[in-house]
Amino acid sequence: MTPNGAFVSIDEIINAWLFKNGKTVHSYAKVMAFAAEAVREMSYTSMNLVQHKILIRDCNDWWDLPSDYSDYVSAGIRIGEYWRPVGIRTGLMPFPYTDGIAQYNPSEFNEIPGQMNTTGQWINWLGPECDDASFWSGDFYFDDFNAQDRKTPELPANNVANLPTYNQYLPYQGFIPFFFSDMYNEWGQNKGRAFGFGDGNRVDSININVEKGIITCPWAFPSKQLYLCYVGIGNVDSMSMLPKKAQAAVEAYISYKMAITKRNGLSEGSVLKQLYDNELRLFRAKNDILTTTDIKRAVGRAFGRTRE
Amino acid sequence: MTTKSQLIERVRRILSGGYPSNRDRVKDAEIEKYLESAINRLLKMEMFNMTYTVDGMSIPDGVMLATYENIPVTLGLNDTCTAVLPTTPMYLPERMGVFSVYPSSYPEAEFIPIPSGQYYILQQVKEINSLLGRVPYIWDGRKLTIYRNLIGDGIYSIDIKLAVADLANIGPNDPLPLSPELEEQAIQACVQIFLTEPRTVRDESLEASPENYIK
Repeated sequence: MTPNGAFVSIDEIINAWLFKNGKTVHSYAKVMAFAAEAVREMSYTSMNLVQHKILIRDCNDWWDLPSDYSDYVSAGIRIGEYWRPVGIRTGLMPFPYTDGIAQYNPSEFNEIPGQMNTTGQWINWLGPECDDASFWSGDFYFDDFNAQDRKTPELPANNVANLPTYNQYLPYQGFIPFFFSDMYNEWGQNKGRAFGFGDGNRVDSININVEKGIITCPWAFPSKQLYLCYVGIGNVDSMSMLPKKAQAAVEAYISYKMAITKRNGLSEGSVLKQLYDNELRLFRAKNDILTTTDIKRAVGRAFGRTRE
Repeated sequence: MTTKSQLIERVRRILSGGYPSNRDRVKDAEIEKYLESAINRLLKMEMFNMTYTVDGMSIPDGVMLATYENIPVTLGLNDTCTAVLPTTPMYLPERMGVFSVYPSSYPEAEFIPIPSGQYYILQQVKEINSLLGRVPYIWDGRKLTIYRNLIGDGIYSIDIKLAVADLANIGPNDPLPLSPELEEQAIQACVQIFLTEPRTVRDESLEASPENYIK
């Protein structure tokens, strides 16, 4: 059961503010707008409302983003009993053509890979439809520098030659400057997996295409399920559970905004802005669980004896 | 505490120069109407003085609120319902004249007032347009438009609280919502209206004013 002491709903915050400020239901809608604004703004920096959702795709190469998606935290796929993290790329992926304002231009459908069907869904633009891709079968393959447009999935063979295809997991051997690759760190050490490397068709990474509201994946992506952790704000309906320690800051924000939207309210609003800033600072302090000892240890780990 | 009848008598006494009579040119019904106007004006001033104070409070005193129960709702277009206000409320900031609207007997399910002209603007703001499931309404003239198919939800009537001193609903001997210091002002305001009228000479003959001769 959700502990009532830990969370507060946005409706409760609105009603508390109205009551404390001697207002009636006539101010409800306006106060709600400012409360939602406060939650939205604070969620970007100080109050990450992390949601968990398992997305399931049909035979497409994308999942639909949750409607309240704001930013990602992490993603994973199911391997047996476990969730295995997958990389979230921010680089280039094959991208539906847009006319520059993030809108599809229907007259240009034929010039771009893929088509939009009559219900507005993109089909066939990343490759063939997924057949039952399996992580452990031949569908699992790695990119290489020689065959970027490989179509046939292929298992990595044993390390037989100094070919980049088969040297994914070897220490850096000098066949390519390490800074051209993100397989190696700045000391030339293999990071352990070919994370984020290649032409965008990495089998173990996804690309979140916020503008189109989809998460794309390579055509051989070995899972139909995607476990997505994301910052979800959405609308007031999904803001139902806010940490209670944020209530004072949200209420202070409402007071500040209600003041400056009144006629001649700027001077009063500037005072209330300071009160809000203080409340926000306190809220961030409540969120900050780092102690000085934690920071010393973190610094020690990064710059301490191991590098000496 | 005073009543309408008491105030009318006091006004008539002044107008008749101390000798109220059923032959007076001004009748009770006329005085009553003027008294109601005067009282309403005084109450509104009083409401502004008492309600909209510098501390930012803006809740009308309960004495100004009248509850009208079981107002029928009519199904409108596109999942809306309409209802007609039983009387014209006061003009108050934040449209507080219509103080509260809710399904009959369920005051806790109060509807949310939206300023007229802003409902469809609000609908475009996806972040808040659900209003957390609360029912919005707007108020134009005497009509309330409620943006929910109440009849489909099995609600056929609503209760409405209006900020109004609806003196028409107060009987001649019911207590008025008028504080003592305002009684004198109400009487004076009413008397002033009649005193400015052109006076005619009263017929004091036995035939016209027999009460003068019955002592």
